Parts: sequence; C-alpha cells; structure tokens
Amino acid sequence: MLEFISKLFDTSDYPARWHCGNWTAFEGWLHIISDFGTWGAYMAIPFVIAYYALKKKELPYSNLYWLFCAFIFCCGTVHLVEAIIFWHPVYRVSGVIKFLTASVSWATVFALVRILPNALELPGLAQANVELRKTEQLLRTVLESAPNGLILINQWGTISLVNRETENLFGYDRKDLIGQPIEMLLPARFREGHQRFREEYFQNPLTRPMGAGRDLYGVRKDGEEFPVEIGLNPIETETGKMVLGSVVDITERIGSLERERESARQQEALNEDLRKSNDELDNFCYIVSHDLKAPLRAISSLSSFVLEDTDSMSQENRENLEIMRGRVRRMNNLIDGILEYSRVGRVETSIKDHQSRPLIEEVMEDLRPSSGVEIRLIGDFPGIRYDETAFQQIVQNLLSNALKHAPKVGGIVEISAEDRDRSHVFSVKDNGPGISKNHHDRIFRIFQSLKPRDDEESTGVGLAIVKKLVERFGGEVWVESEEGEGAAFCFTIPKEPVGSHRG
Amino acid sequence: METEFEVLLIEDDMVDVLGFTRALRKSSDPVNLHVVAHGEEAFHFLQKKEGRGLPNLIVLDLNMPIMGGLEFLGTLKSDPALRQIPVVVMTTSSERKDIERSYDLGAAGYMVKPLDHEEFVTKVKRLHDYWKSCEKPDFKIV
Repeated sequence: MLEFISKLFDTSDYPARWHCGNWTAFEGWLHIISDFGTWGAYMAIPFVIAYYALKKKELPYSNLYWLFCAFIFCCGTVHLVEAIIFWHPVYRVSGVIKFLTASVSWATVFALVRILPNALELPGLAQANVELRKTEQLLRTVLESAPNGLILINQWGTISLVNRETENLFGYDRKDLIGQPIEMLLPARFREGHQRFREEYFQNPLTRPMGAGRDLYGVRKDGEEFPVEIGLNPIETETGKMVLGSVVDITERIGSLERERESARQQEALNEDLRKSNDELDNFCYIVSHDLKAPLRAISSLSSFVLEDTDSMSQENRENLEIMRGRVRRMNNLIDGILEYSRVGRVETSIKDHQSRPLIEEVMEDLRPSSGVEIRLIGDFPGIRYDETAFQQIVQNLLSNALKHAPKVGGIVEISAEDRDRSHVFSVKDNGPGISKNHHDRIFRIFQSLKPRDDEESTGVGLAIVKKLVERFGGEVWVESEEGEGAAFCFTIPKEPVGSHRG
Repeated sequence: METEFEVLLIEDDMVDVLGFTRALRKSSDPVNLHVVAHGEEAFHFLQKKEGRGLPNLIVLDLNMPIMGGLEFLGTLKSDPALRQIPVVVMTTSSERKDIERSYDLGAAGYMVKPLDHEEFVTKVKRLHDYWKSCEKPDFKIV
C-alpha cells in the first residue's frame, strides 16, 4: 500500500497509451479529444448546478445537488486522466480517481433511493403553478369580495392595489387609481394635512383606526363627500413598507344614529310635554280650588247670616239650612282634598338621609292623643334616602287610616319595615274590619272612599295622596287584606332614589 | 283724646267684607273700618289720608283684580312713608309659598279665611284684641 502511494505518479511500470497497441492518429485523437470534451463539459455542469443551488435558496434536497456536483466532477476527472494516459501512463492516479468516482456515484445512488419516496410526493412545477394560481385566485376573490374598500399604498402615498369595493365606494376604475396619490380620494380641505399624517404614520406604523376622534370623509369621482371609517395596517413587503387601509362607508350608520337621536329627542319632548301638562294640571287644580272655595265660603257665610238674623224660622227651614251647611262643608273638604292632592306634584322635594324610626315616632306623637288604639313598632327600621315631609305624609295618612279603622276597644296598629333587595318595604297593619279584594284597586283612586258620602271625616284623598307620593319617589303601594281580617298597607322606598326633583 | 282704632280692609269679595264687618261688630270696641276693593284703590286712600294719620292696621286679601295683595304688600313695604303700617294677610290660600312670600314681603300676620262664619268671628276677635294691645305705631315720615 505504501509502495502504491509512493509510486502514485510513477509511470515507469506502464507504457504510454500511444505506445500500447497500434493507434492510428485518428483513433488516438478521437479518444483524446472526446475525453477532453467530456471533461470540459463535466467541469462546467457542476458549476452550473452549484450556482443554481446557491441562488435558489429554498430548493428541496439541496445536499443532493452537491452530491451531483461531486459525482459529475469526478466523472470529468476520470476522462481527463484517460486523455493524459496517452502520454503519461499514470494508471495508479487513474485507479484512485475511478475509485473515488465509484464511491461518490454509489453515495449518490443511495441518496437518491433514500429520498425517492418523498421526492415522488413533490408537486411538479406545472402542478405547483396550478396550486399557486388557485391560492392567488382565492386571495383575489377574498380581496375582491371584501365588504370593505381595501387600498394598499406605499410610503410615498401612491396607490398600488385596490379592490372592487374601493371602486364602488369612490366611483373610479382601478386603472384610474393605481399609481395615483391616495390624497385624490380625500376632500380637498384634508389633503395637505393628510400628507403630514401619512408621513408621521410611516415613521411609527401601528395597526389602528385612522383619525381617532375626528370625522373622516372620502370624496367620490363625482365630487360627493361621504363619511368613512378607516382602519390602518402596516405591511412589510420586499419593495418596502406599505400600508393597507380598510375603508367603510358609514353614511347609513350615521343615519341610524341620527334617527336614534331624533327619536330620543322626540321621547324627551313627549316627556317634557307630559311633565308640563302634569304641572299645568296641578296648577289648574290649585287655581280652580281657590276659585271654588271663595263662593263656597260666601254660601256658608251668608247662610250663617240668615240663621243669625232670622228670629222666627221654622224648625224645618233651620234643619234644611243646616243640611246645606253640611254639604258646603263636605264640598269644602273635597276641594281641600284636590288641593292637597295637587300639592304633591307642586311642592319641592329634597332627598336626604334620614333614620325612618324617629320620623315615624314624630307622626305617632301627632296622632296618638286622638286615639285609644295601641300602636306598635315591630323590629328594626332602616335609614332611608327620601324626602322627609313626603315620608311623614305617607306614614301620617296610612297611620290615621289605620287608627280610624281599628276597633275602638282592643285596636292594635303594627308598623314594621322589611329589607327587600333594592328597596325597603314599610307596612302599616290594623286589626279592623279589613277590605274586600274587589276594592283593593279602587281605594287608591281619588274620592273613592268606601264610607258614606256625608261622612265629613273621610274625603277620599288620603290613599290617593299616598299613592302619588310613593310613586313619585319610585316606589309602589298596595294593600294586603281580607274582609274581617284587618288590613296591611305596604309601600316601598327604593334604596337608590329615583324620584323627580323639582326646583 | 283717645284715637279710634282704624282698620283698612282691602278685599274684593263682598261677602267676605260683610263677614269681616259682622265679626268686628261682635268684638268689644268700635272700630273705624275702611274698605277698598284692591291694591290700587288702597294707595289712593292712603295718599288722601297722609298727614292726617294713617290706619292702625291693614287687612289684606291676596287674590284681587287690578293690583293683587302681594304686589300691594311689596309696594307698600318699599314706601318709607307707609311701610310701618302693620299688614295682616287674610286669604283663602293655605299654600306654603303664599305664606312664605307674604312674610318675606313684610306681613305681620297670615290668616286663612275659615269656611265657617263662627270661626271667622273668633279669628277676627283675636286679631283685634292683639292689635289693640299693641302700642299704636308711630307714623312720622322718616
């Protein structure tokens, strides 16, 4: 082996090929020229392949290309040596090179066999093109059928791509848009400013809506302006930074907003009208009541004068006059009732924090002297945010009702409060005769006393006032009662006051 | 010489005037009563009286034509010559805002006209007794 290596370039053991056999010049040079030719070509081919492999970065199985290079290079060298042997019989070098060539060739074979199954899966160029076209078609369809106008601009503000919706929105053909400055789609008054904004944006591109807090407008080919909403997306491409703008025409959205606003305005106007007419009604009640009271007082006074001035009046006349005076008093009470009822809507309220128990106790102090009925406060009483006068008026009305209806002997009135979710429920309960279910709604209406007409005590406004007051402050009032089982009047006070505030 | 107690009643309702007169008649001392129908007429009366002693008391209705009670009260109390005459409001209204407004303008008292004449008599008597017991105001022009 050592001998082989040391004699690698020794030519003394063999004759040169020219001298081995009877070569004619034609036969010899046919071999020599063909071998040189082959060698030359086999040298060139690896360079071309290597160049291709280097340039084509994402080539599948790139190592195989290098094996091809080596294999072809080796083959070429074999041919070179074959030519040289005509003069210099370097058969040992030739052997080594042939061995190398065989090794590289087999390596290539193995490599090829190994990748063959995968390679078979690779799409052919034509097929790849079809796939590519499909993908491109899909993307184009998406782009074209997008409901937004999409506009791609480069950093000089030149339009490089638009979709169909953009054409629809702005009324231009895309050939009129591509290559034009984006500012052509803006109303003239915004163009200069936009150029500045655009340059700033390219300095610091972010995905964001455009023109935060400002109203944006586009302008159509025919010069008509329309309100738009624009989203901006920076895109890095091989040809530099670009921005994809997504444009939506918001004319309709603004229109529906306007309509909503308009209907809210109308609602507000209606509410205002209702408030006004309620106010007017209350004022009307006030004025009418006073105007009605004056003649009533005149009738009352004059009947007194007659009674005083007439010495000889028949018993019957005297009685009739007294009945008349009774009716006058009743009418006066009714008018007072209307006045009081209308006053609920007229007086100013002030909502403050109060403890409910002391307020109830004050009302009890005022009412107790006139009654032998026992009043009990049951359980705890909450703090309330309410108008003090209104609360006492409600309690006063319910309590005096309860005292009126509780039995004169053994009468008991119980007042209690209950915490219920978003409100407090107060209850005033008597052990009187109770109220039949079919009267439960009626008793809260004005002048719907269940007592006889001539009962001067009962004007039929107490519960109506309670209802008006409670509802004014966002609560409810109801009665829980069966005939013969007493009555419990309940009302709610919201924990968060919602009542109307006047003044 | 004791001067007679002099009252100016400003009232447009004839029956109320009658009632007031009757009520006064029932009170102990004779009272010199002048009646006018509204504020403007009252000022005419007061202008004529100036220098010859002004009324001891004005009883004033609120709801009247031409010049209402509150307007009269405001004008009277801003007149340095007349503002010392005590004014008692006597009206149908029991509205809190009317009561407050009257006192704000300088009323010395506020009386809601009762329905019953008997009650009316009691009230007027009390009013009369009270003002008789007060020292007669000094009407010098300031």
